[in-house]
Amino acid sequence: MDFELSDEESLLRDTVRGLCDQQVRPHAQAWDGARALPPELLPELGQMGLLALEVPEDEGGAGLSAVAASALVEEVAAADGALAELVVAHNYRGLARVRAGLSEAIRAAELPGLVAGERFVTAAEPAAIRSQGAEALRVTAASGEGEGEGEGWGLNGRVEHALGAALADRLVVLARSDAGPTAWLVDTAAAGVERTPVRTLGARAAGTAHVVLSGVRVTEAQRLGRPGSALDDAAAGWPGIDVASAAVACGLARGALEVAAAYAQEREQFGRPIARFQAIQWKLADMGTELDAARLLTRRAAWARDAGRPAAETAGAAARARLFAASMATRACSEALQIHGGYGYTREYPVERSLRDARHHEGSHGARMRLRLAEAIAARFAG
Amino acid sequence: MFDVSPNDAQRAVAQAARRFATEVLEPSAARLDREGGFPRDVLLAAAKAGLCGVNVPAELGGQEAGVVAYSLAITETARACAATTVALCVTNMVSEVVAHFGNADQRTHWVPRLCSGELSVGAFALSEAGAGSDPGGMRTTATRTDEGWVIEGSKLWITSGTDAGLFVVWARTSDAPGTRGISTFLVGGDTPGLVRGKPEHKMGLNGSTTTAIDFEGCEVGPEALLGEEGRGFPVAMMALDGGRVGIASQALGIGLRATELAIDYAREHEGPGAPLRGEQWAQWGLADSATELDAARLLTLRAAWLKEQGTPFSREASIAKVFSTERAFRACGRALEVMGAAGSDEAAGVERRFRDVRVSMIYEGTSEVQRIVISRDILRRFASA
Repeated sequence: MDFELSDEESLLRDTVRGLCDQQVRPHAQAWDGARALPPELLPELGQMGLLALEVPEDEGGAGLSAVAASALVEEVAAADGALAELVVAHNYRGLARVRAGLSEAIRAAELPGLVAGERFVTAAEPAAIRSQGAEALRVTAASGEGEGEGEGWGLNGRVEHALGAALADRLVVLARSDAGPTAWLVDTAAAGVERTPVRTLGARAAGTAHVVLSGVRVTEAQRLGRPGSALDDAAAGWPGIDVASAAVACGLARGALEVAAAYAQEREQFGRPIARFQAIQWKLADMGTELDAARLLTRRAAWARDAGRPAAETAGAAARARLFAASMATRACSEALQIHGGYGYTREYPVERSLRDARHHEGSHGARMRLRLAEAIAARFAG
Repeated sequence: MFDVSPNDAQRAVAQAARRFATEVLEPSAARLDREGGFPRDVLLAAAKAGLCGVNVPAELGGQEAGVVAYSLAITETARACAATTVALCVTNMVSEVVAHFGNADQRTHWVPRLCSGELSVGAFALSEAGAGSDPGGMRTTATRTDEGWVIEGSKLWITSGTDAGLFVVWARTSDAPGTRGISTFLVGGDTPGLVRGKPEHKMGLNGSTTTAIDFEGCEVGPEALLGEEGRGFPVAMMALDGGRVGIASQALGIGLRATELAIDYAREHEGPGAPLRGEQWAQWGLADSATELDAARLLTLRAAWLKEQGTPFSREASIAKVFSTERAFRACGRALEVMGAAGSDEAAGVERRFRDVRVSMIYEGTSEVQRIVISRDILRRFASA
């Protein structure tokens, strides 16, 4: 197992860190307040390859290993959790599925813009499909619906709390159909697509929205994968999503730790920097230790993806990383806020946003990942 | 004996507070969070309902219902709106401080007007930019003149700073170091030289204003001195002991409501795999929250009861505060876990509780300060055994 980045990857990471320090971190709190990102930001990240992390270079992507990709996601998250959520959504929920399943008919028209990051894509699917499967789907596809032609489908239904949906150009939509759960690539400008922004605890600039589809026309060319294969196709992407999600958590915790460690050495009470008190030292020590553990779990899972380890091993490693990292980030960000005292509760300092982003990110993942791990253990030790 | 079940009078106060919370606070709490500002009309209505002087003598306009009743009432209002509740906590604390430490003139001049809402609310001006957990770092001074005192300096984190009609202010009146040489003053909100800062933008409690207060050549008469000159620090510490019971009660209310909302959600929604109410991961979380909040309630009521008996309760107040606030925060996190993405949506009202409750681990003495108080007391007892 080797988690070291190559010279080239290290250079890219340093470049991303520089960009984040100069152009992201100073504005992240304002973007959070405005609940929006500047529109040019995502295309700019796209030019650096951040919106095609694991796409081969000859296809226009950054051509990174999963290990290196997780390091870059961590960099972005250390500066701005909302932006990191969008990077992950585009790469792992959207682009990975489109690349794997898009028909030749519209591949040349659709893919380059998504790989370049000129267009943003994510999936509009309920989190519960992992455990409930097709039962969780609230969108149905009816064949022949709409005007004239018989070969199209009409999509009807809704997806709630879809992160990134408000600013997406394309959405991967999973729907129930006669053939079983099937996915389509939907243009958000198409007639019948309605998006309602949702005000959320964290990741406020990440464009979370409820999506309502009313008779949205899709063709066979827009279908991703085979009819009825959408759940299997989605499942193939879960380890990638889990590793990237864990990397976001690592970045959130790291950003908060860096800020808190610096603050603790500046802030004086009782005639000395508060960093000289054990109450503060212990917090910082625990934060650093847990962050190290989370990052190693994350890199190990990324390595398993790169090394092509057996599917069960990779999925298990990814779920463990996400399980540990998600709650670790909330703890670390809460302690970072505590170290700042009253100042930490104000929006003048970034730690309150880190805590909101981390708790938002954590969601129900603890339970979801444990369920996955329980299933894996049951399968391994069956009869 | 400490009796955990409230008596009829205490229960009546709690029921009235719950009615007020349900009818007046709850309907506007989400909007108040979104738009910010100071809920002046709501607080006036709270005063009319007796909530600004629950543990204040009736002859001064209070309810004279005791500390346990006060704790129960605060928990009820906090279930609906934590922001309005913190203004209530501070104004009750200020009323009690003046009623306890003030002379006859001070008591009759200020307390009835605090209880009636005429002064809007009271405020507590102890912290400064460089004096948070360490009040001994205070720099604000009060200098004696022929006409009284001149206060110079700057205070920070003043709850209700935009609207309060009375400020209890701590300032140095001698060169004695640390916490010696600090005195307490009662300064009306309209006193020239008292300059209200702009409200801080915060993670939560957006319906409560938090400001700096600058004192620029602020002249007050000799009657402004509360208690003895140079004996201000013990006044602040005694006030904070009582204040901690209030904040423990507030956090408890927030945690209880977040848990109830998660329970309602779990009854009606599917989780990963099965209906949430049938999932052990959700059941276990809710069970832990219920257990911890029950313990928080008992610790808080014990501290309230001790204060009501007139016995020392400093350690118990700190124990109640650190436990109740930290476990209420945890309960709000668990509620979010049970509800997933729906919990993070403002519309559900749980993320507001998560943001609001977080500051309770900081104000009225951080969790770290509570642990200092508790450990000092434990070590002192252990040494004398």
